[in-house]
Amino acid sequence: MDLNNAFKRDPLIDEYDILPVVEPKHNRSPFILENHKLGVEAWAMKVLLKYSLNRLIGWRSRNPSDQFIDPMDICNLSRAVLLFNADNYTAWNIRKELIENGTLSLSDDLAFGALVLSKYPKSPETFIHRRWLFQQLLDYCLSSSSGSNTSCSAAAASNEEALVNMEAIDVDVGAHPELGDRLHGAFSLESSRLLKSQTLRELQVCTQAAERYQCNYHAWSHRIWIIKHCLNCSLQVLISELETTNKWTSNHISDHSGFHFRQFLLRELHNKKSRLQSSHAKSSTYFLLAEMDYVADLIKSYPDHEALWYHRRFVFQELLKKEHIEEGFKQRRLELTGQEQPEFSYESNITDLRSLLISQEIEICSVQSSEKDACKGLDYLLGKNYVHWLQSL
Amino acid sequence: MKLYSIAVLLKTPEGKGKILTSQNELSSFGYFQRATVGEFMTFTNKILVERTATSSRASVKEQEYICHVYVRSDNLSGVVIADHEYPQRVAHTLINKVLEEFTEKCPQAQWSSVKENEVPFAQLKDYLQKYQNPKEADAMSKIQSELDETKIILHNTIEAVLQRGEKLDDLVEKSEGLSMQSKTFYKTAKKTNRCCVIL
Repeated sequence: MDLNNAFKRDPLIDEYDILPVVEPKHNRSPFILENHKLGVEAWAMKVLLKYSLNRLIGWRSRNPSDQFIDPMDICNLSRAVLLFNADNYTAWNIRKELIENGTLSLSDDLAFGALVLSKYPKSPETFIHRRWLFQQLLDYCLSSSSGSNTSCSAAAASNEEALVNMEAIDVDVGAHPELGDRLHGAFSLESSRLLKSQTLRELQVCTQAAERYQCNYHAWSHRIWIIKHCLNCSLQVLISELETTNKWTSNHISDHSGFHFRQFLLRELHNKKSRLQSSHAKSSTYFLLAEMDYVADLIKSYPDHEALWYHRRFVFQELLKKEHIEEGFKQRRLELTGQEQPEFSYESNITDLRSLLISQEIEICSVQSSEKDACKGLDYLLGKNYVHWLQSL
Repeated sequence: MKLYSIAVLLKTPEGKGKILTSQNELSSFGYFQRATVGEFMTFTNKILVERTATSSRASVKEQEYICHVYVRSDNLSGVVIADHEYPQRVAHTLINKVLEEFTEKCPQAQWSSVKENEVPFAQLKDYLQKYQNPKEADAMSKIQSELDETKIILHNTIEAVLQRGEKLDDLVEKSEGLSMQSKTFYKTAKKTNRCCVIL
Protein backbone atom coordinates (compact mmCIF):
# COMPACT_ATOMS: atom_id res chain seq x y z
CA MET A 1 0.00 0.00 0.00
CA ASP A 2 1.08 3.51 -0.79
CA LEU A 3 0.55 4.78 2.73
CA ASN A 4 3.06 2.32 4.09
CA ASN A 5 5.50 3.33 1.40
CA ALA A 6 5.12 6.94 2.37
CA PHE A 7 6.00 6.15 5.97
CA LYS A 8 8.88 4.00 4.83
CA ARG A 9 10.19 6.74 2.59
CA ASP A 10 10.00 9.39 5.24
CA PRO A 11 9.85 8.17 8.82
CA LEU A 12 10.01 11.75 10.02
CA ILE A 13 6.55 12.79 8.92
CA ASP A 14 5.47 15.36 11.47
CA GLU A 15 2.15 16.52 10.13
CA TYR A 16 -0.61 15.27 7.86
CA ASP A 17 -3.86 16.53 6.46
CA ILE A 18 -6.75 15.58 4.28
CA LEU A 19 -6.78 17.31 0.89
CA PRO A 20 -10.10 18.36 -0.56
CA VAL A 21 -10.04 16.14 -3.63
CA VAL A 22 -13.43 14.51 -3.71
CA GLU A 23 -12.92 12.17 -6.66
CA PRO A 24 -9.93 10.45 -8.16
CA LYS A 25 -9.03 12.65 -11.12
CA HIS A 26 -5.85 11.15 -12.37
CA ASN A 27 -4.12 7.85 -12.23
CA ARG A 28 -1.70 8.93 -9.53
CA SER A 29 -1.06 8.07 -5.96
CA PRO A 30 -3.47 9.92 -3.67
CA PHE A 31 -0.67 10.54 -1.20
CA ILE A 32 1.49 13.59 -1.41
CA LEU A 33 4.68 13.84 0.58
CA GLU A 34 6.31 17.24 0.91
CA ASN A 35 8.74 18.51 3.45
CA HIS A 36 7.87 15.80 6.02
CA LYS A 37 4.18 16.58 5.60
CA LEU A 38 1.79 13.99 4.27
CA GLY A 39 -1.32 14.94 2.31
CA VAL A 40 -4.06 12.40 1.68
CA GLU A 41 -6.79 13.06 -0.85
CA ALA A 42 -10.23 12.94 0.68
CA TRP A 43 -11.64 10.17 -1.51
CA ALA A 44 -8.70 7.91 -0.76
CA MET A 45 -9.10 8.51 2.96
CA LYS A 46 -12.63 7.09 2.83
CA VAL A 47 -11.61 3.98 0.91
CA LEU A 48 -8.57 3.40 3.05
CA LEU A 49 -10.37 3.82 6.35
CA LYS A 50 -13.14 1.42 5.32
CA TYR A 51 -10.72 -1.21 4.08
CA SER A 52 -8.39 -1.04 7.05
CA LEU A 53 -11.15 -1.03 9.61
CA ASN A 54 -12.86 -4.04 8.03
CA ARG A 55 -9.72 -6.08 7.92
CA LEU A 56 -8.72 -5.12 11.43
CA ILE A 57 -12.12 -5.96 12.89
CA GLY A 58 -12.14 -9.15 10.82
CA TRP A 59 -8.83 -10.17 12.30
CA ARG A 60 -10.02 -9.28 15.76
CA SER A 61 -13.16 -11.38 15.46
CA ARG A 62 -11.14 -14.26 13.97
CA ASN A 63 -12.73 -14.19 10.57
CA PRO A 64 -11.30 -17.14 8.63
CA SER A 65 -10.25 -15.00 5.69
CA ASP A 66 -8.40 -12.51 7.88
CA GLN A 67 -7.03 -15.06 10.31
CA PHE A 68 -3.39 -15.05 9.32
CA ILE A 69 -2.15 -11.53 8.88
CA ASP A 70 1.44 -10.70 9.53
CA PRO A 71 1.82 -8.72 12.80
CA MET A 72 3.57 -5.97 10.87
CA ASP A 73 0.49 -5.64 8.67
CA ILE A 74 -1.73 -5.40 11.72
CA CYS A 75 0.47 -2.59 12.88
CA ASN A 76 0.09 -0.81 9.55
CA LEU A 77 -3.66 -1.39 9.44
CA SER A 78 -4.14 0.05 12.90
CA ARG A 79 -2.03 3.02 11.88
CA ALA A 80 -4.22 3.67 8.85
CA VAL A 81 -7.33 3.55 11.01
CA LEU A 82 -5.98 5.82 13.72
CA LEU A 83 -4.67 8.45 11.34
CA PHE A 84 -8.23 9.21 10.34
CA ASN A 85 -10.15 8.12 13.39
CA ALA A 86 -8.01 8.91 16.38
CA ASP A 87 -10.57 7.82 18.95
CA ASN A 88 -10.90 4.22 17.82
CA TYR A 89 -9.85 2.49 20.99
CA THR A 90 -10.01 -1.00 19.52
CA ALA A 91 -7.17 0.02 17.26
CA TRP A 92 -5.25 1.55 20.16
CA ASN A 93 -5.75 -1.61 22.18
CA ILE A 94 -4.44 -3.69 19.31
CA ARG A 95 -1.35 -1.55 19.37
CA LYS A 96 -0.99 -2.13 23.11
CA GLU A 97 -0.92 -5.86 22.40
CA LEU A 98 1.64 -5.35 19.66
CA ILE A 99 3.86 -3.52 22.12
CA GLU A 100 3.48 -6.25 24.70
CA ASN A 101 4.58 -8.92 22.25
CA GLY A 102 7.42 -6.78 21.01
CA THR A 103 6.29 -6.12 17.41
CA LEU A 104 6.11 -2.39 18.02
CA SER A 105 8.50 -0.28 20.05
CA LEU A 106 7.38 2.14 22.72
CA SER A 107 9.15 5.12 21.29
CA ASP A 108 7.80 4.46 17.79
CA ASP A 109 4.29 4.43 19.13
CA LEU A 110 4.87 7.60 21.12
CA ALA A 111 6.07 9.30 17.96
CA PHE A 112 3.05 8.03 16.06
CA GLY A 113 0.69 9.30 18.77
CA ALA A 114 2.32 12.72 18.53
CA LEU A 115 1.62 12.69 14.79
CA VAL A 116 -2.04 11.84 15.39
CA LEU A 117 -2.27 14.67 17.91
CA SER A 118 -0.99 17.11 15.29
CA LYS A 119 -4.21 16.47 13.38
CA TYR A 120 -6.58 15.71 16.27
CA PRO A 121 -5.12 17.71 19.18
CA LYS A 122 -8.08 16.95 21.42
CA SER A 123 -8.40 13.21 20.95
CA PRO A 124 -8.90 11.76 24.45
CA GLU A 125 -8.19 8.16 23.44
CA THR A 126 -4.80 9.16 22.10
CA PHE A 127 -3.88 10.79 25.39
CA ILE A 128 -5.08 7.79 27.37
CA HIS A 129 -3.03 5.48 25.19
CA ARG A 130 0.00 7.64 25.85
CA ARG A 131 -0.54 7.37 29.58
CA TRP A 132 -0.45 3.60 29.21
CA LEU A 133 2.76 3.91 27.20
CA PHE A 134 4.39 6.01 29.90
CA GLN A 135 3.25 3.57 32.55
CA GLN A 136 5.00 0.83 30.56
CA LEU A 137 8.08 2.98 30.23
CA LEU A 138 8.18 3.63 33.98
CA ASP A 139 7.76 -0.08 34.75
CA TYR A 140 10.49 -0.90 32.30
CA CYS A 141 12.84 1.63 33.87
CA LEU A 142 12.16 0.35 37.35
CA SER A 143 12.70 -3.29 36.45
CA SER A 144 15.88 -2.60 34.49
CA SER A 145 17.30 -0.59 37.36
CA SER A 146 16.74 -3.37 39.88
CA GLY A 147 18.49 -5.81 37.58
CA SER A 148 21.52 -3.75 36.76
CA ASN A 149 22.12 -1.87 39.92
CA THR A 150 21.86 -3.79 43.15
CA SER A 151 22.40 -0.83 45.38
CA CYS A 152 19.06 0.62 44.52
CA SER A 153 17.02 -2.55 44.40
CA ALA A 154 15.38 -1.42 47.56
CA ALA A 155 14.27 1.75 45.90
CA ALA A 156 12.95 -0.14 42.94
CA ALA A 157 10.89 -2.34 45.19
CA SER A 158 8.78 0.62 46.06
CA ASN A 159 7.55 2.75 43.24
CA GLU A 160 7.07 5.64 45.50
CA GLU A 161 10.59 5.77 46.80
CA ALA A 162 12.24 5.34 43.44
CA LEU A 163 10.23 8.15 42.01
CA VAL A 164 11.41 10.56 44.65
CA ASN A 165 14.86 10.27 43.21
CA MET A 166 13.48 11.56 39.95
CA GLU A 167 13.25 14.97 41.53
CA ALA A 168 16.44 15.66 39.71
CA ILE A 169 14.82 15.64 36.30
CA ASP A 170 14.86 19.23 35.27
CA VAL A 171 12.43 20.44 32.70
CA ASP A 172 14.59 23.31 31.73
CA VAL A 173 17.65 21.32 30.74
CA GLY A 174 19.72 24.31 29.83
CA ALA A 175 19.28 25.94 33.19
CA HIS A 176 20.50 23.11 35.41
CA PRO A 177 22.70 20.79 33.38
CA GLU A 178 24.54 19.50 36.40
CA LEU A 179 21.38 18.03 37.85
CA GLY A 180 20.77 15.63 35.01
CA ASP A 181 23.21 13.11 36.44
CA ARG A 182 21.55 12.73 39.78
CA LEU A 183 19.07 10.33 38.28
CA HIS A 184 21.50 7.47 38.20
CA GLY A 185 20.77 6.53 41.74
CA ALA A 186 17.44 5.08 40.81
CA PHE A 187 17.66 3.89 37.24
CA SER A 188 20.26 2.48 34.98
CA LEU A 189 21.82 5.10 32.79
CA GLU A 190 20.20 4.11 29.54
CA SER A 191 16.63 3.80 30.72
CA SER A 192 16.77 7.00 32.71
CA ARG A 193 17.95 8.84 29.62
CA LEU A 194 15.13 7.35 27.61
CA LEU A 195 12.56 8.30 30.20
CA LYS A 196 13.94 11.78 30.57
CA SER A 197 14.01 12.55 26.88
CA GLN A 198 10.54 11.10 26.36
CA THR A 199 9.14 13.09 29.26
CA LEU A 200 10.59 16.32 27.96
CA ARG A 201 9.26 15.51 24.52
CA GLU A 202 5.86 14.81 26.03
CA LEU A 203 5.68 18.25 27.58
CA GLN A 204 6.32 19.69 24.13
CA VAL A 205 3.59 17.54 22.67
CA CYS A 206 1.18 18.89 25.27
CA THR A 207 2.15 22.47 24.47
CA GLN A 208 1.64 21.90 20.77
CA ALA A 209 -1.75 20.29 21.30
CA ALA A 210 -2.80 23.16 23.56
CA GLU A 211 -1.65 25.59 20.87
CA ARG A 212 -3.65 23.86 18.15
CA TYR A 213 -6.94 23.73 20.00
CA GLN A 214 -7.96 26.36 22.49
CA CYS A 215 -9.15 25.32 25.93
CA ASN A 216 -7.72 21.87 25.30
CA TYR A 217 -8.61 20.27 28.59
CA HIS A 218 -7.25 16.88 27.56
CA ALA A 219 -3.82 18.23 26.73
CA TRP A 220 -3.52 20.12 30.01
CA SER A 221 -4.79 17.32 32.17
CA HIS A 222 -2.37 14.98 30.42
CA ARG A 223 0.38 17.41 31.32
CA ILE A 224 -0.74 17.28 34.94
CA TRP A 225 -0.65 13.48 34.78
CA ILE A 226 2.88 13.49 33.38
CA ILE A 227 4.06 15.89 36.06
CA LYS A 228 2.49 13.78 38.77
CA HIS A 229 3.57 10.37 37.56
CA CYS A 230 6.74 10.83 35.56
CA LEU A 231 8.18 13.84 37.31
CA ASN A 232 6.70 13.13 40.71
CA CYS A 233 5.69 16.79 41.16
CA SER A 234 9.21 17.79 42.08
CA LEU A 235 9.63 21.35 43.24
CA GLN A 236 12.04 22.16 40.49
CA VAL A 237 9.58 20.99 37.87
CA LEU A 238 6.66 22.84 39.46
CA ILE A 239 8.55 26.11 39.62
CA SER A 240 9.95 25.87 36.14
CA GLU A 241 6.52 24.94 34.78
CA LEU A 242 5.08 27.98 36.49
CA GLU A 243 7.66 30.08 34.69
CA THR A 244 7.30 28.50 31.27
CA THR A 245 3.50 28.61 31.23
CA ASN A 246 3.57 32.22 32.38
CA LYS A 247 4.27 33.39 28.85
CA TRP A 248 1.83 30.96 27.33
CA THR A 249 -1.11 32.09 29.45
CA SER A 250 -0.37 35.77 28.86
CA ASN A 251 -0.73 35.00 25.18
CA HIS A 252 -3.85 32.87 25.62
CA ILE A 253 -5.80 34.98 28.03
CA SER A 254 -9.14 33.29 27.43
CA ASP A 255 -7.88 29.75 27.86
CA HIS A 256 -9.49 28.37 31.03
CA SER A 257 -7.55 25.12 30.79
CA GLY A 258 -4.19 26.86 30.79
CA PHE A 259 -5.09 28.75 33.94
CA HIS A 260 -6.42 25.60 35.52
CA PHE A 261 -3.00 24.07 35.01
CA ARG A 262 -1.39 26.96 36.86
CA GLN A 263 -3.87 26.46 39.69
CA PHE A 264 -2.73 22.86 39.93
CA LEU A 265 0.89 24.00 40.13
CA LEU A 266 0.13 26.50 42.87
CA ARG A 267 -1.78 23.92 44.88
CA GLU A 268 1.01 21.39 44.58
CA LEU A 269 3.54 23.97 45.69
CA HIS A 270 1.40 24.58 48.72
CA ASN A 271 1.25 20.85 49.49
CA LYS A 272 5.03 20.78 49.59
CA LYS A 273 5.43 24.00 51.51
CA SER A 274 7.85 22.67 54.12
CA ARG A 275 10.29 21.37 51.49
CA LEU A 276 9.81 24.55 49.50
CA GLN A 277 10.84 26.59 52.51
CA SER A 278 13.92 24.52 53.24
CA SER A 279 15.26 24.13 49.70
CA HIS A 280 14.19 27.39 48.03
CA ALA A 281 13.60 29.61 51.05
CA LYS A 282 10.28 30.69 49.62
CA SER A 283 6.80 30.21 50.96
CA SER A 284 3.92 29.06 48.84
CA THR A 285 2.31 32.37 49.71
CA TYR A 286 5.08 34.08 47.83
CA PHE A 287 3.99 32.34 44.63
CA LEU A 288 0.35 33.12 45.26
CA LEU A 289 1.05 36.80 45.77
CA ALA A 290 3.10 36.86 42.59
CA GLU A 291 0.24 35.16 40.77
CA MET A 292 -2.17 37.77 42.10
CA ASP A 293 -0.03 40.59 40.70
CA TYR A 294 0.28 38.70 37.45
CA VAL A 295 -3.43 38.16 36.94
CA ALA A 296 -4.31 41.70 38.07
CA ASP A 297 -1.94 43.05 35.47
CA LEU A 298 -3.45 40.87 32.75
CA ILE A 299 -6.96 41.99 33.65
CA LYS A 300 -5.87 45.58 33.38
CA SER A 301 -4.18 45.07 30.02
CA TYR A 302 -6.78 42.86 28.42
CA PRO A 303 -10.31 43.67 29.46
CA ASP A 304 -13.30 41.47 28.65
CA HIS A 305 -11.92 38.03 29.43
CA GLU A 306 -13.85 35.87 31.82
CA ALA A 307 -11.06 33.32 32.34
CA LEU A 308 -8.86 35.97 33.94
CA TRP A 309 -11.50 36.95 36.47
CA TYR A 310 -12.08 33.32 37.41
CA HIS A 311 -8.38 32.80 37.88
CA ARG A 312 -8.33 35.82 40.14
CA ARG A 313 -11.11 34.29 42.22
CA PHE A 314 -9.08 31.13 42.67
CA VAL A 315 -5.94 32.98 43.70
CA PHE A 316 -7.78 35.23 46.09
CA GLN A 317 -9.64 32.36 47.69
CA GLU A 318 -6.34 30.56 48.24
CA LEU A 319 -4.89 33.68 49.80
CA LEU A 320 -7.76 33.79 52.27
CA LYS A 321 -6.70 30.50 53.83
CA LYS A 322 -5.42 30.92 57.34
CA GLU A 323 -1.76 30.15 56.79
CA HIS A 324 -1.60 32.39 53.72
CA ILE A 325 -3.15 35.33 55.51
CA GLU A 326 -0.42 35.28 58.14
CA GLU A 327 2.35 34.69 55.70
CA GLY A 328 0.99 37.27 53.27
CA PHE A 329 0.92 39.99 55.87
CA LYS A 330 4.42 39.17 56.99
CA GLN A 331 5.60 39.39 53.44
CA ARG A 332 3.86 42.62 52.57
CA ARG A 333 5.16 44.13 55.79
CA LEU A 334 8.65 43.01 54.90
CA GLU A 335 8.35 44.66 51.51
CA LEU A 336 7.13 47.90 53.02
CA THR A 337 9.52 48.31 55.92
CA GLY A 338 12.44 46.33 54.61
CA GLN A 339 12.93 44.47 57.87
CA GLU A 340 11.31 41.70 59.80
CA GLN A 341 8.86 42.95 62.40
CA PRO A 342 9.21 41.78 65.96
CA GLU A 343 6.88 38.91 66.75
CA PHE A 344 3.38 39.99 66.14
CA SER A 345 0.43 38.00 67.25
CA TYR A 346 -1.59 37.08 64.19
CA GLU A 347 -3.55 34.32 65.85
CA SER A 348 -5.94 36.54 67.72
CA ASN A 349 -7.12 38.72 64.91
CA ILE A 350 -7.04 36.35 61.97
CA THR A 351 -10.70 36.98 61.21
CA ASP A 352 -10.07 40.71 61.28
CA LEU A 353 -7.22 40.35 58.86
CA ARG A 354 -9.38 38.22 56.61
CA SER A 355 -12.12 40.80 56.37
CA LEU A 356 -9.50 43.50 55.93
CA LEU A 357 -8.12 41.62 52.93
CA ILE A 358 -11.57 41.23 51.42
CA SER A 359 -12.44 44.89 51.83
CA GLN A 360 -9.09 45.89 50.31
CA GLU A 361 -9.75 43.67 47.33
CA ILE A 362 -13.24 45.10 46.93
CA GLU A 363 -11.82 48.58 47.01
CA ILE A 364 -9.19 47.82 44.36
CA CYS A 365 -11.78 46.40 42.05
CA SER A 366 -14.32 49.16 42.52
CA VAL A 367 -11.67 51.78 41.77
CA GLN A 368 -10.78 49.89 38.61
CA SER A 369 -14.35 49.58 37.43
CA SER A 370 -15.11 53.22 38.11
CA GLU A 371 -12.14 54.13 35.93
CA LYS A 372 -13.82 52.29 33.13
CA ASP A 373 -16.77 54.56 33.85
CA ALA A 374 -19.46 55.03 31.33
CA CYS A 375 -18.63 52.31 28.84
CA LYS A 376 -20.43 49.55 30.64
CA GLY A 377 -18.88 46.79 28.61
CA LEU A 378 -18.38 43.14 29.37
CA ASP A 379 -15.43 43.83 31.61
CA TYR A 380 -17.50 46.13 33.80
CA LEU A 381 -19.96 43.29 34.25
CA LEU A 382 -17.23 40.77 35.03
CA GLY A 383 -15.71 43.13 37.59
CA LYS A 384 -19.10 43.69 39.17
CA ASN A 385 -19.70 39.96 39.44
CA TYR A 386 -16.33 39.56 41.09
CA VAL A 387 -17.06 42.22 43.69
CA HIS A 388 -20.41 40.58 44.29
CA TRP A 389 -18.64 37.30 44.90
CA LEU A 390 -16.19 38.98 47.27
CA GLN A 391 -19.04 40.38 49.31
CA SER A 392 -20.50 36.92 49.73
CA LEU A 393 -17.27 35.54 51.22
CA MET B 1 -3.66 35.97 20.96
CA LYS B 2 -2.54 36.06 17.38
CA LEU B 3 -2.09 38.34 14.42
CA TYR B 4 -2.53 36.58 11.11
CA SER B 5 -2.04 39.31 8.56
CA ILE B 6 -1.54 43.01 7.90
CA ALA B 7 -2.26 44.57 4.54
CA VAL B 8 -2.17 48.05 3.07
CA LEU B 9 -4.70 48.62 0.30
CA LEU B 10 -5.90 51.44 -1.87
CA LYS B 11 -9.57 51.95 -2.43
CA THR B 12 -9.60 52.97 -6.06
CA PRO B 13 -12.04 55.56 -7.43
CA GLU B 14 -14.06 52.70 -8.95
CA GLY B 15 -14.47 51.32 -5.43
CA LYS B 16 -12.15 48.37 -5.96
CA GLY B 17 -9.64 47.25 -3.37
CA LYS B 18 -6.07 47.15 -4.60
CA ILE B 19 -3.44 45.56 -2.42
CA LEU B 20 -0.30 47.67 -2.16
CA THR B 21 1.58 45.49 0.28
CA SER B 22 0.72 42.67 2.63
CA GLN B 23 2.27 40.22 5.05
CA ASN B 24 0.88 36.98 6.49
CA GLU B 25 1.79 34.86 9.47
CA LEU B 26 0.39 31.43 8.73
CA SER B 27 2.57 29.08 10.74
CA SER B 28 -0.34 28.09 12.94
CA PHE B 29 -2.20 26.63 9.98
CA GLY B 30 -1.69 23.17 8.57
CA TYR B 31 0.99 22.89 5.92
CA PHE B 32 -1.43 22.03 3.15
CA GLN B 33 -3.88 24.75 4.12
CA ARG B 34 -1.49 27.67 4.10
CA ALA B 35 -1.74 28.56 0.42
CA THR B 36 -5.52 28.50 0.59
CA VAL B 37 -5.67 30.49 3.79
CA GLY B 38 -3.37 33.09 2.24
CA GLU B 39 -5.62 33.42 -0.79
CA PHE B 40 -8.66 33.82 1.39
CA MET B 41 -6.95 36.50 3.45
CA THR B 42 -6.29 38.49 0.28
CA PHE B 43 -9.85 37.91 -0.85
CA THR B 44 -11.23 39.07 2.51
CA ASN B 45 -8.98 42.13 2.59
CA LYS B 46 -10.36 43.29 -0.75
CA ILE B 47 -13.98 42.57 0.04
CA LEU B 48 -13.81 44.48 3.29
CA VAL B 49 -12.05 47.53 1.89
CA GLU B 50 -14.48 47.68 -1.00
CA ARG B 51 -17.44 47.66 1.37
CA THR B 52 -16.16 50.03 4.04
CA ALA B 53 -16.98 53.70 3.57
CA THR B 54 -14.16 56.23 3.27
CA SER B 55 -12.85 57.56 6.62
CA SER B 56 -14.50 54.93 8.73
CA ARG B 57 -13.37 52.02 10.87
CA ALA B 58 -14.87 48.59 11.28
CA SER B 59 -14.15 45.33 13.05
CA VAL B 60 -15.74 42.29 11.48
CA LYS B 61 -16.04 38.96 13.24
CA GLU B 62 -15.91 35.79 11.22
CA GLN B 63 -15.76 32.49 13.07
CA GLU B 64 -12.64 32.57 15.22
CA TYR B 65 -11.21 35.59 13.43
CA ILE B 66 -11.72 39.33 13.61
CA CYS B 67 -10.79 41.58 10.71
CA HIS B 68 -10.06 45.18 11.59
CA VAL B 69 -10.47 47.66 8.72
CA TYR B 70 -9.74 51.34 8.39
CA VAL B 71 -10.23 53.33 5.22
CA ARG B 72 -8.59 56.74 5.56
CA SER B 73 -10.01 59.91 4.07
CA ASP B 74 -7.40 59.69 1.27
CA ASN B 75 -8.62 56.16 0.52
CA LEU B 76 -5.49 54.47 1.76
CA SER B 77 -6.70 51.51 3.80
CA GLY B 78 -5.38 48.98 6.24
CA VAL B 79 -6.69 45.57 7.24
CA VAL B 80 -5.48 43.54 10.20
CA ILE B 81 -6.69 39.98 10.70
CA ALA B 82 -6.40 38.67 14.25
CA ASP B 83 -8.16 36.30 16.62
CA HIS B 84 -10.75 37.18 19.26
CA GLU B 85 -8.26 37.54 22.08
CA TYR B 86 -6.34 40.28 20.32
CA PRO B 87 -7.30 43.71 21.74
CA GLN B 88 -9.30 45.68 19.22
CA ARG B 89 -7.80 49.03 20.08
CA VAL B 90 -4.28 47.74 19.63
CA ALA B 91 -5.21 46.41 16.20
CA HIS B 92 -6.54 49.79 15.11
CA THR B 93 -3.54 51.60 16.52
CA LEU B 94 -1.36 49.26 14.53
CA ILE B 95 -3.25 50.11 11.34
CA ASN B 96 -2.75 53.83 12.01
CA LYS B 97 0.95 53.40 12.50
CA VAL B 98 1.42 51.23 9.44
CA LEU B 99 -0.54 53.58 7.21
CA GLU B 100 1.42 56.62 8.43
CA GLU B 101 4.73 54.96 7.86
CA PHE B 102 3.65 53.66 4.50
CA THR B 103 2.71 57.14 3.33
CA GLU B 104 6.19 58.34 4.24
CA LYS B 105 7.82 55.58 2.26
CA CYS B 106 5.52 55.67 -0.69
CA PRO B 107 3.90 59.04 -1.51
CA GLN B 108 0.30 59.33 -2.54
CA ALA B 109 1.13 60.05 -6.18
CA GLN B 110 2.46 56.55 -6.68
CA TRP B 111 -0.44 54.64 -5.16
CA SER B 112 -2.56 54.36 -8.25
CA SER B 113 0.28 53.61 -10.65
CA VAL B 114 2.19 50.87 -8.78
CA LYS B 115 1.56 47.25 -9.52
CA GLU B 116 -0.58 45.17 -7.21
CA ASN B 117 1.21 43.92 -4.06
CA GLU B 118 4.59 45.07 -5.32
CA VAL B 119 5.38 48.03 -3.12
CA PRO B 120 8.50 47.22 -1.12
CA PHE B 121 7.74 47.83 2.53
CA ALA B 122 9.97 45.63 4.66
CA GLN B 123 8.84 47.17 7.95
CA LEU B 124 5.50 45.41 7.65
CA LYS B 125 7.05 42.07 8.52
CA ASP B 126 8.64 43.54 11.64
CA TYR B 127 5.33 45.02 12.70
CA LEU B 128 3.62 41.67 12.28
CA GLN B 129 6.25 40.03 14.46
CA LYS B 130 6.46 42.72 17.07
CA TYR B 131 2.76 43.13 17.56
CA GLN B 132 2.17 39.41 18.15
CA ASN B 133 2.62 40.35 21.76
CA PRO B 134 0.97 43.73 22.29
CA LYS B 135 2.69 44.19 25.63
CA GLU B 136 6.16 43.89 24.19
CA ALA B 137 5.22 46.21 21.38
CA ASP B 138 4.53 48.76 24.09
CA ALA B 139 1.23 49.50 22.53
CA MET B 140 -0.92 49.11 25.61
CA SER B 141 -0.08 52.37 27.32
CA LYS B 142 -0.56 54.77 24.48
CA ILE B 143 -3.65 53.36 22.90
CA GLN B 144 -6.22 55.55 24.53
CA SER B 145 -4.66 58.80 23.40
CA GLU B 146 -3.52 57.81 19.94
CA LEU B 147 -6.74 56.50 18.56
CA ASP B 148 -8.79 59.24 17.01
CA GLU B 149 -12.44 59.85 17.55
CA THR B 150 -13.66 57.70 14.70
CA LYS B 151 -16.10 55.19 16.00
CA ILE B 152 -15.40 51.55 15.28
CA ILE B 153 -18.35 49.85 13.67
CA LEU B 154 -18.82 46.23 14.70
CA HIS B 155 -20.12 43.52 12.42
CA ASN B 156 -20.82 39.98 13.47
CA THR B 157 -20.11 38.28 10.15
CA ILE B 158 -18.68 39.13 6.78
CA GLU B 159 -22.14 38.52 5.32
CA ALA B 160 -23.32 41.52 7.37
CA VAL B 161 -20.85 43.77 5.54
CA LEU B 162 -22.02 42.76 2.10
CA GLN B 163 -24.40 44.92 0.14
CA ARG B 164 -27.96 43.94 -0.58
CA GLY B 165 -28.28 41.06 -2.97
CA GLU B 166 -24.70 39.95 -2.52
CA LYS B 167 -23.92 36.44 -1.37
CA LEU B 168 -20.60 35.30 -0.03
CA ASP B 169 -20.84 31.99 -1.92
CA ASP B 170 -21.27 33.85 -5.23
CA LEU B 171 -18.35 36.16 -4.48
CA VAL B 172 -16.12 33.18 -3.75
CA GLU B 173 -17.30 31.45 -6.91
CA LYS B 174 -16.65 34.51 -9.08
CA SER B 175 -13.37 35.54 -7.53
CA GLU B 176 -10.33 35.46 -9.77
CA GLY B 177 -7.87 35.58 -6.90
CA LEU B 178 -8.88 32.20 -5.58
CA SER B 179 -7.53 29.02 -7.11
CA MET B 180 -9.68 26.00 -7.92
CA GLN B 181 -8.25 24.24 -4.91
CA SER B 182 -9.21 27.04 -2.58
CA LYS B 183 -12.74 27.09 -3.92
CA THR B 184 -13.15 23.37 -3.33
CA PHE B 185 -11.67 23.82 0.09
CA TYR B 186 -14.22 26.51 0.86
CA LYS B 187 -17.08 24.29 -0.27
CA THR B 188 -15.98 21.20 1.62
CA ALA B 189 -15.16 23.19 4.72
CA LYS B 190 -18.58 24.73 4.61
CA LYS B 191 -20.26 21.37 4.09
CA THR B 192 -18.52 19.65 6.97
CA ASN B 193 -18.79 22.83 9.02
CA ARG B 194 -15.17 22.73 10.02
CA CYS B 195 -13.69 26.06 10.83
CA CYS B 196 -10.28 25.31 9.39
CA VAL B 197 -10.16 28.09 6.84
CA ILE B 198 -11.03 31.70 7.04
CA LEU B 199 -14.55 32.44 5.77
